[in-house]
Amino acid sequence: MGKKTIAALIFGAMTLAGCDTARDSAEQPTDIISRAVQTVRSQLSANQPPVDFRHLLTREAIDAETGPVMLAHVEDRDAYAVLSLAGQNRGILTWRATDGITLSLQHDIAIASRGLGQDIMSGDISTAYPALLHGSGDAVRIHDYLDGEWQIERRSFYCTYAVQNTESIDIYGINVNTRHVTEACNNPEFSFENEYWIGQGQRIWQSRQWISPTVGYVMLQHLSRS
Amino acid sequence: MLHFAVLLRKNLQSLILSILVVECIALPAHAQSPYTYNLYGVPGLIDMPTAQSANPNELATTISTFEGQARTTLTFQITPRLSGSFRYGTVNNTGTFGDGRLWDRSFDLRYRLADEGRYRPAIAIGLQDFIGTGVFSGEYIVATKTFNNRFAVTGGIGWGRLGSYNSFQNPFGSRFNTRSGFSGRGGEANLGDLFRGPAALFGGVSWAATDRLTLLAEYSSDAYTYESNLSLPEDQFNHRSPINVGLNYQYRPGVNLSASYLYGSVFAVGATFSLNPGRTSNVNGRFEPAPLPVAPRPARHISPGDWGTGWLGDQERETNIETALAQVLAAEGMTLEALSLTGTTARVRLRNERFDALPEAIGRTARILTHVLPASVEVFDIEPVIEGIPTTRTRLRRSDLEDLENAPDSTWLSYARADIAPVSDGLAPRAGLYPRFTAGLAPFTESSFFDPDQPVRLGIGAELSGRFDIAPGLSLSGSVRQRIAGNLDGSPVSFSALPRVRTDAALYAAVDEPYINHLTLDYFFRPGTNLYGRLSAGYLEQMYAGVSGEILWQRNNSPLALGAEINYVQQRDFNQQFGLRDYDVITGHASAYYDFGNGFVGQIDAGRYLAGDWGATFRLNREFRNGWRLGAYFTLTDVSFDDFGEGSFDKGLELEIPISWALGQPTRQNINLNIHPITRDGGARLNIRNRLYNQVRESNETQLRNEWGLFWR
Repeated sequence: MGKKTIAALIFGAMTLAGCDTARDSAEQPTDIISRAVQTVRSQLSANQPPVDFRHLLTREAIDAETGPVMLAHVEDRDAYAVLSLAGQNRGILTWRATDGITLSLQHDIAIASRGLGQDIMSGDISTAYPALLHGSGDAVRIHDYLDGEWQIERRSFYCTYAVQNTESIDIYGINVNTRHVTEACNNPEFSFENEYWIGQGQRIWQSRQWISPTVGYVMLQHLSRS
Repeated sequence: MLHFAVLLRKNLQSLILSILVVECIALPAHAQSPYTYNLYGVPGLIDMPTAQSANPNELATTISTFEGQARTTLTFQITPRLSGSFRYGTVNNTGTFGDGRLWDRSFDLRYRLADEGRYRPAIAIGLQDFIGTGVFSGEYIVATKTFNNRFAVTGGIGWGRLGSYNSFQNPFGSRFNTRSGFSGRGGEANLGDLFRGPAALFGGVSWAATDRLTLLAEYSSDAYTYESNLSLPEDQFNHRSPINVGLNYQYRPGVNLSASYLYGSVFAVGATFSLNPGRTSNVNGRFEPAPLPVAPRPARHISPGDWGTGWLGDQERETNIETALAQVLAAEGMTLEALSLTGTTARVRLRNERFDALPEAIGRTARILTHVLPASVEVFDIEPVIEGIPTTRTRLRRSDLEDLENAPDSTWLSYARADIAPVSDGLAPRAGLYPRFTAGLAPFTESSFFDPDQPVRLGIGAELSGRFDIAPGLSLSGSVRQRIAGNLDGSPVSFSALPRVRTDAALYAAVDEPYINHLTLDYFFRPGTNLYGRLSAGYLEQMYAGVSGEILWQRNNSPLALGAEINYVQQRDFNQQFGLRDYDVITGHASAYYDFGNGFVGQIDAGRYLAGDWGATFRLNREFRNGWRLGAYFTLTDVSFDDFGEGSFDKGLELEIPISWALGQPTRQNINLNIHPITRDGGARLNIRNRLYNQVRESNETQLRNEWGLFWR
């Protein structure tokens, strides 16, 4: 098992979008029609069994990867993907799935997404991150979304933090001791609860983070050892 | 009930159309003071209006039918207080006009004068069918008070149709006593009749029993005099009682169904499909793959070598940069038109054929530049070209891109730091780009709605198109079409007192062989700062060939634009090959465009029309930043209403729906629906495919700012 296996998995198995509309190239009218057909078809067949390739992943294949990889799961769409590092700027890491969807993580907290639909355009977690590490107190998180006329729609959330317990989690053959911290956020419109499993060196090995009302939660897991 | 089934089938075409347009893109309705649409397709009870307004920007199609009648209404909440409706109604009038059916187009306007207060009701004034034959004409002043957000009481006074049952003398005095009524030609604003004739009172209640089900009861002031005079058989429509009862059920957000029992006589059913063009469609957002992230430069003090300008003048390295840039842009569906580099600046001329909003094209290009350009290049001038000519440039600083990519509030900060300015000077196109030939084969559709005989006419076929770009701004393009199916050739051919400049449409639509849809040589150029020019020659449109010249003055960031166009054209043969008919004319207009800045754009075109008549066209568009456009226009010329014929003067509605909105994917394709109920020969304008204003405006700073939210998309 080597790089080929993960690549094959990635191409064969899944799209994070959960629907088949994400492929793209220069426009031809016929493309639009075929995509419209695809959209309709994917809506009609929304109950397809999800492709879960996790049982195919092995520690050996992960370690053979040249760069770091993460596992992502968009819960409401039952879509899985392996993410690889696509960019790094001012301490923010942008992770990309093969179908072109990206998540930008600051200290492993999602502050932007692209290609999921109702994306976070930018986010501010400057007070949330220290509270999360501390595992107590409160903070304000800010998410910017786009409305139907491409104007920024800013949503602020009031969040409280709590350490639940310490947990040992298994990530494909490596055991990590973590503390399980919850982040409960709400505003008058929405509420959500994120979860983080934080290991040594404050690395968030695993998390379950809310993106937006229509995207829902994304589960993220670091697969690589460092 | 058999008759009912026939009615329903007659309306099926328009129903299918509404479903195609609305059903797949319906939106959750916004919770406000609850209201339902009545059988006339306006917020109301059953057959009577209320004083409520729909949610701002709501666009609703209502289809309703009962024995002897069917109505399809499109209502748009133009401003929070003002709404407008277009209705296509059929009235079964067996025995009166021979064909047994009256097809009627009508327009309404309604204005909410007063908002509902704690004690005060909302008050609205409405003009129903004020342009048209007057079959449905009626005016009203109505008040509605809601209680507990579930119960609403409505009372009003009506004139015309709405003042026909249990009526009394006009309260405005004897001067208002007479009303002329039905006019056969139709189309004129019946302004002289407004609020004239007898008046009558109406009223009713609605109760939202659950969040989805509303029960309704009303006392109607419409005596259905016209229908009753038809002396229909006992089992058909007969006005026996002024009381109507009904219910309205929200099947799902954006889709309401209604059922009611009318006038002690017949059952009615209705369906309303509503959406808000300013909201995201139910695909919820955009799904195109993410852009390439910004590639930050290594700090200068860490690797000073990267920051040198030694590459400048090294032909091989410069060629490599250009090739790499062109390839990555092509992968994003864009074309690199020209590149000019100095040690610290890059000018990138770009052709965008993919993204519906230019800021997305500009933002993606900027991020690609951070990957391909040496570190010393700090300033990016990105210049989108439109038809090969430059318009504006957006100047971005590379260090801003690096700083802001993941910053909170990145959208606004990046707009604030961008510098957008006009650009008109030439930049040599990339070697090998011209000449360039592109071709495509695609299906096409054509449509005509609500003509006097048939609600929907459609045609489909295949189109082979080709375009030969000779030099920047200069191109030869054409398309050949083959119809496969359709019923446009059955459009009515009627008498015309004018040269038949448009009324032969059915003869043009009857061609079974391949025909030339257009074949033109076009030249776009910049005659000066803020000036744009177009020259076209050839087979300009389906019915006319000739030469056309246009000039447009538009200053970046100015709401006003002025244009002038002059054409000499000759009518084409019906078979649309190369031949021409005898009729020729010089036609042209002076145009003024004004962007009011709140989503409304006005346009006036004054000049000479195809039949040689002189006059002006007035147009108002409501434009949404996501590309939706709803417009209305009318044309008045020196042709008398009698000579114009049915409809009295030219008018219509236009609807443009961006496919990107429905799919959640970038594309520059739109669905265009032109509701032009009666095509006559007066006030007819030449159809030019590529007029300047809308093309040039796309890169204007105002437009870029409106769509800047997609810069980081």
